[in-house]
Amino acid sequence: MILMTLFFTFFKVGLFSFGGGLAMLPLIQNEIVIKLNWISQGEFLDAIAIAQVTPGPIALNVATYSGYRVYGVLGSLFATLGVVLPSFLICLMLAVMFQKVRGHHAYQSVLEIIKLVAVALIASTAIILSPNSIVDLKGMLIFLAALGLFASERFNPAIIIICSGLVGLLLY
Amino acid sequence: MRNISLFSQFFKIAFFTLGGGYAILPVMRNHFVIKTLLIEEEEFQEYLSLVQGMPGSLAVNCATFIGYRLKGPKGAVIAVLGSVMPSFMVISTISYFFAKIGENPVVMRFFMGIRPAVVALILYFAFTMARKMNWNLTKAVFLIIFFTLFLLFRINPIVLILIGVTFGLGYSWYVLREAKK
Repeated sequence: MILMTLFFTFFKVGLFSFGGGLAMLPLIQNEIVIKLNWISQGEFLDAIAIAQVTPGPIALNVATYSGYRVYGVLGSLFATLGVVLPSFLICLMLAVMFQKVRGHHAYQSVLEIIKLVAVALIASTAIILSPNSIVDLKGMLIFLAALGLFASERFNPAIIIICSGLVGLLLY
Repeated sequence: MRNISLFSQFFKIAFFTLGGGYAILPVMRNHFVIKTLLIEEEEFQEYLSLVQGMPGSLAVNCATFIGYRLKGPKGAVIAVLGSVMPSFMVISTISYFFAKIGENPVVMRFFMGIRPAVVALILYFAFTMARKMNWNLTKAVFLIIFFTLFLLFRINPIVLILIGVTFGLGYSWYVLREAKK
């Protein structure tokens, strides 16, 4: 039963998240952390961190990790299947007929608004997660330094994440 | 191309790239467009614009298109399996150990440092997405409305996306009707 819930939860996440792995985070947070209470805000943050510093797409990594926390390796399997399946089916359909949709006006304007929703959702996710992650002045300093480094776009994000972990070891 | 070769190409790309979709896509381009010449540049750019307008993982969706192009539906399945397998193996292993070492004080301090950086990463990602859009006043107002609906009223994200789709279709219908007049 839990496995089916995992599968359908991640199926929904896979179907409704536009903009890649990080865009899935608001949906995963809403389903897994807030509604189902399967993992805590803190664990969710750790899952994102681990997803970022390990190989592979972020979306899959977060799904695999959450699935594992809920129901071991089988949980990982069902979460991964759920998150991949919707876009796989859509891709197959598009691969067959994509010339028709691409330039269509309705498709373009729907896409524009969905992007707006995505920006609002993703920024909100950062805000919702901040009380659990930026707990004191030291956390605030790490946050600001990391933000500056991401914005400079000179380093691989995975490296910045690992370095902030090392800074955490020094400061805490 | 043999099935196993197709599988291992996607497996290697996913296994050796840190940082998710935006890091993997350039590596895929490098491999399939520049190195092996299996996909033409123009075609790859079309895949890129498509996957950014679709739900799901960028890397997996792009793999599906490339796999389909090279070997039909079977190729698509093989490409997806190849891209998914590394995450699955690595994360299952890490989760297994993390469950045991997660309470360790050193690990906890490490993650105390990582969490603020993750929030910065998500915020910065929202910013890069916003930067790529063509802004006008209407869109800014909509952004604030969606922001309030989610943050203050906790409307389900899926409901918000469906509202977005409805608005988009309505707007398009309106513009096309005006154009016909």
